[in-house]
Amino acid sequence: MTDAYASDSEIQSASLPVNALRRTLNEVLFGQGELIELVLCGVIARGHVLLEGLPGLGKTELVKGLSKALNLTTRRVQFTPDLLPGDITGNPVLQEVDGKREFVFQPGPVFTNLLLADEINRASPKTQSALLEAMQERRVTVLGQTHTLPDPFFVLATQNPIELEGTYPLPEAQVDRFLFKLEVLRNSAATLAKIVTQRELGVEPQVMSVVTREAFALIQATARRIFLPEIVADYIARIVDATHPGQSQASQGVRFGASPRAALSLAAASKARALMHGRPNASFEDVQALALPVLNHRVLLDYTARMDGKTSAGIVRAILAEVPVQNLATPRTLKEVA
Amino acid sequence: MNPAMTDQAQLSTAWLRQACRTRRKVNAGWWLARAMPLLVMAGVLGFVVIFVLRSRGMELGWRHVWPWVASGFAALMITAWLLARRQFVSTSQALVRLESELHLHNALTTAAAGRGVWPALVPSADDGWRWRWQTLGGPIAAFAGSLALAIFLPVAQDAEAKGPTVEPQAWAQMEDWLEKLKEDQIVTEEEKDEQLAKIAELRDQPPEKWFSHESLNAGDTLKEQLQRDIKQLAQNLSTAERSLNALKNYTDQLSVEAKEQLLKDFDQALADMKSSSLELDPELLKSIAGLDPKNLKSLSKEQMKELGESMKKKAGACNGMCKNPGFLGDGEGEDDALAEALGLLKKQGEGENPGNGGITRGPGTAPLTLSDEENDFGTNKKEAVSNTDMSRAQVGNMLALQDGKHEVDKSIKGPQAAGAIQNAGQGGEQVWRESLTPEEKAVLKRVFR
Repeated sequence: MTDAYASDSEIQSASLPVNALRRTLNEVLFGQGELIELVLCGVIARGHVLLEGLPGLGKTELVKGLSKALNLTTRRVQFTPDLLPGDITGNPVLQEVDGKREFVFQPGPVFTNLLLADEINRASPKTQSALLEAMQERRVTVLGQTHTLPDPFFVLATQNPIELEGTYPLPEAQVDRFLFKLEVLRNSAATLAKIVTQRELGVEPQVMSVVTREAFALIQATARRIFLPEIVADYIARIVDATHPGQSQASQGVRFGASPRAALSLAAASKARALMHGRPNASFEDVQALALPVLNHRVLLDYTARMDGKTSAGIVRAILAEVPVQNLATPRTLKEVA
Repeated sequence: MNPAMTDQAQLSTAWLRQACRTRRKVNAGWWLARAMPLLVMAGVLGFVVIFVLRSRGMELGWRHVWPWVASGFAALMITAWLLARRQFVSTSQALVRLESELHLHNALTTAAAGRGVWPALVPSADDGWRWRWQTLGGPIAAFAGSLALAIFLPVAQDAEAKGPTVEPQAWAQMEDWLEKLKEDQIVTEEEKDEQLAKIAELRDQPPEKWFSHESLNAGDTLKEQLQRDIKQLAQNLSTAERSLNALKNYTDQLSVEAKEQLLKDFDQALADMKSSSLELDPELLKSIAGLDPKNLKSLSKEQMKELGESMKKKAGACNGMCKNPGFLGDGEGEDDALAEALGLLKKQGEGENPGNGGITRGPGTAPLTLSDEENDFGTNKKEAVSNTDMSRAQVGNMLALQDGKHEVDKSIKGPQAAGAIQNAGQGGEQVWRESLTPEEKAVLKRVFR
């Protein structure tokens, strides 16, 4: 019988392929170690990741490298305004089967292990919403028939923060399905020099598969069995609660705070990060490291706050600074030292 | 035993001990944080109480105060502990504090829950809390300083609380009189005690009321009453003694009316003595009442002499008590030289006996005598005479005298023709004007503003 919590040996055996994955992806994408770390964390936590950044920074390259390293089937969909929901989920097609004509479901690109949704904000809300059930329930219902998606299933979506004309911002319900929203930053000069030296335009880097599908499933299962101390769970709860208007000083200007799904996402991501670092438990440090990518897209600001130049990321950082790891006041007779 | 297990047990013990230290530290911090304001308040309260008690004359040294201070301090600390108890932290909370300060990734909590191994000990395990010695020392110093100040600060004791060191003089004087009356066997012991009880009643009042108006008035009334009784007694004794002496020695030379008058005086004096408010000595009364004034020849010469001298002596003693050397009516102190001198002066001017006469009698030398200074009869003084009732003023009555001169305008040079001008201005010249109308002044002000 499997123990409720992962043992040290399980954690150690899971850490090895994770390190191999990390090394491989760092060979694909130079100078984006933190991004790679978070993307790995997201997929280990069985979450979907939204990548936001300017074109050409390597978003698509990262996803393709990940799919190759994990040896998973990958589909890529370039979202356009005329894309229909059926183009994503699949359509029933009239076919002749055993001399009879009947509708046969033709699976769409969503039926894959890793779906790369490029420029997701260019599709219409209707098409964007077609992904909702797939992302959350990991299944698709067409003409009353439910089709389960393959396991594992991830959506790694990208969107550009520029050229917003003719785009459709993702609805809140859609955004909430993404575990992380990661900002892809530009490379430094040294990294650029490395890219120029070691890469050639139009030639994709060779990526070796380092983890089998089964091994990756085991890693995911181990991550779910990482111990989450009660005090850390309490910390997560207090942070998420503090994102709501009136619940903290930092939440001034917030229109809607993070949902309970955000708390669950933060807990799952913290466990995954703990596993990646070979620890048997999630910690305050994990929560603090992941709070920004988890909550950034879930904290919605009101008009005046945006006019004041506030950002969701700034609010989350202020909340992290305001909420103590433990509800433990300091008496006047003692002082805190750094 | 597995060495790793032993290590884990040792690590567990060490970390838990460290957590207990942290827990004790923060709990003590809360305890003291609650105690400090109470300590300051107790210091102020203690200062006020001790200082007030000392100012009221109570002797309060450190050895008297320290048991109270110690018990009060203990009660205060217990109260503070009860108040702070709600904020006390547990060992598990202290573990969390340690692991968050040492960035141990919640390894201690995980190990305490049995889900992981205890991490290696950190050389300088620090919980991130330091004592605020200033916050702690201030109230403690204020508490100790307040008490020390209250105990050792020199204090002017309240005069009212201490009470007067002397008592009204009338009381002592009455006591002296009564003692002397008893010594001379004039009044009974019971009478003396009765009078002393009245004085004691006055003395039993709170000392701060001895010199109150009511108390002094009561004392003086009592003294005057006693003095009046003694004087009356002295007169009666003198009358009786004189009557007896006259009846004994000059009975043959006296007329019948004179004898009857003397007998009447003697009886009256005896009756007055019997009915006196002062209860006289029974022996004295008996010796006087036993006499038969009509048959005094039956008494021997020695007996009569002895009786007469006794009565004379007692009358003299009583008279001595009732002397009032001061001219203010209630003179006290026979040796008061000033009072004596003033008394003599008074006797010279208003004595009962006829005056000496002579040129020195009267208010002094008359005016118009030769002296260094000119005589001032007040004739150079002018006074205004006023008569409020002018309806009764007679024609020709002088109402007032006043020195003065006529106000003559000396600037007038001579007669002038009507319409003439004093200063004729030349054409084109600016004419100086010394006075302007208010409207003109307003215009000038407005222009030169």
